Amino acid sequence: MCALPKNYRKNLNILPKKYGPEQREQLLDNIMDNGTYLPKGVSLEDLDSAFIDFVKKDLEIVIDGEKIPVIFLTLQRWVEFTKTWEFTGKHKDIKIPFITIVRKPDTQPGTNQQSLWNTATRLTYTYYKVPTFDGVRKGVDVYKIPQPTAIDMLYEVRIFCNKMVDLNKMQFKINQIFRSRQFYINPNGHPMPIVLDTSGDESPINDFENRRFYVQLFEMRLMGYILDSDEFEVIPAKNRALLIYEVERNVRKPMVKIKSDKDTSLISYNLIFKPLSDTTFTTIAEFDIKFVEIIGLININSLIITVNSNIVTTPFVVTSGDEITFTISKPAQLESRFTLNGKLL
Amino acid sequence: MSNIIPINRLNKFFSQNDFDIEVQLGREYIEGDINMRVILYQIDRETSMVDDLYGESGKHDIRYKVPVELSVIVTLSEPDNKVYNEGSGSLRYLQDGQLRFGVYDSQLKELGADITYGDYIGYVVSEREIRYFSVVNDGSKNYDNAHTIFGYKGAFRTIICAPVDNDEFSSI
Repeated sequence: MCALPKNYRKNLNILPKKYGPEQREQLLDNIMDNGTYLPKGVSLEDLDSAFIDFVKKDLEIVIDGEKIPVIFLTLQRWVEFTKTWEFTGKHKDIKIPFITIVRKPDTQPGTNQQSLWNTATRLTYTYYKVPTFDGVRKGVDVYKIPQPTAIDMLYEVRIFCNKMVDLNKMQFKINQIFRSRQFYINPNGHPMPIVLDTSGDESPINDFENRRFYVQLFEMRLMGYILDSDEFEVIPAKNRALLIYEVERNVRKPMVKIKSDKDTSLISYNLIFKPLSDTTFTTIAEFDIKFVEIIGLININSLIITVNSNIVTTPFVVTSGDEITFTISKPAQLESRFTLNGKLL
Repeated sequence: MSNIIPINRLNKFFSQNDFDIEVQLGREYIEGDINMRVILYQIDRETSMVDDLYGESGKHDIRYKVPVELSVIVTLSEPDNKVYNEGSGSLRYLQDGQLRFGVYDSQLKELGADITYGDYIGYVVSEREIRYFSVVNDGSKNYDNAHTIFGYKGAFRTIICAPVDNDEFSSI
């Protein structure tokens, strides 16, 4: 049957597939599919179950119109019969062909993404943030999960058959599936790769004096991880006080308004320090002046006046060309001002 | 209904009647004279509870049919001195040896019993203790020379059993 030329396929899947970021989003959605905002935990049983499904579905072999049985083997003797009774004869011997799966009892440290030093404690990390509203205040619940523990599971898949044609079917599927090294299965929605470690032949075909049949061994490594759902956490996000500082890039310069009266020889320096302005102002005296009083102090905590770097107090005299410096301290957000009155000499 | 094929081999000096007499003599010796017995616990594979994934079961999940006492010829091997930690030689334990027994087909037929791979066998070793074994070879193909009478037909079976832990099976 298999030697006949192949016909055209009539059941091509024409539905579009997702690629790139969309595919990654879909993978994340799959993890939570039909569940809560948390992913499902992954146990060793989940890994075994997913692997068995992989062999049953993706490595399905049909011979003479019947699917080859897939048998997962463990230790208990009588239980073996509960798995094979459908395929046994009068003496309860299972009939060839069939596929067996044996999981090596030991699980190895994971080689996928985690094999070196790692976080020493079982910290949980934010997985998802869910907005909440308690009627008054909007908040967020943080769903946290620990880092999964990577493990490798080793499986021995064997096909037992009597014909090379049947063996070819298995080998064809295996080669197709692992052509890009890995094949992904999804235990509880978590994508995990399986790689083909080795394949070998255990057929007793050289023994002319005994029963002969083909036995092909495929050793596969499930590079998975386990995730304990008991370690999942849902905690409310912290309420935070928001402190804002505004910083003015352009510092304002203080202003001085000079008023003089020739008739009375009175002169006044009106100094204005705007909010967030510089607190020091220097000017050059244009006349000989005797300053006698300071009035109209508004929002000024302290005031220091220097003439040519010498601190002075009223009354004081400046001559033309002297450098007068005013240094104040003030609330930054408020406007400050004062007036210095004097008489032209 | 399958066809019945007459067995005509040895028919000049051996027949079904001769076969039956030989079996009766043998059974008289086993059941009447030496009277060694084992208890057969046939697993009820339909009602026993097994794990969906691995097909394993605890000792309280196993259901078995009504126990049957069989008259047999028993060979119980010497216990083996073993350790759990191979290589480090620690955690010693004494493992029961293999239990082998021969049983006549006709006896099983009379009792409506059969012995299959994985069934449990109890052997009373003292007034207060039963040791349990699991059938590893049910000898159902008993048409080899050793198990026939003069090569006429299979008459008895040799059953080989391995010891089991009490957490796997216990009848009490």
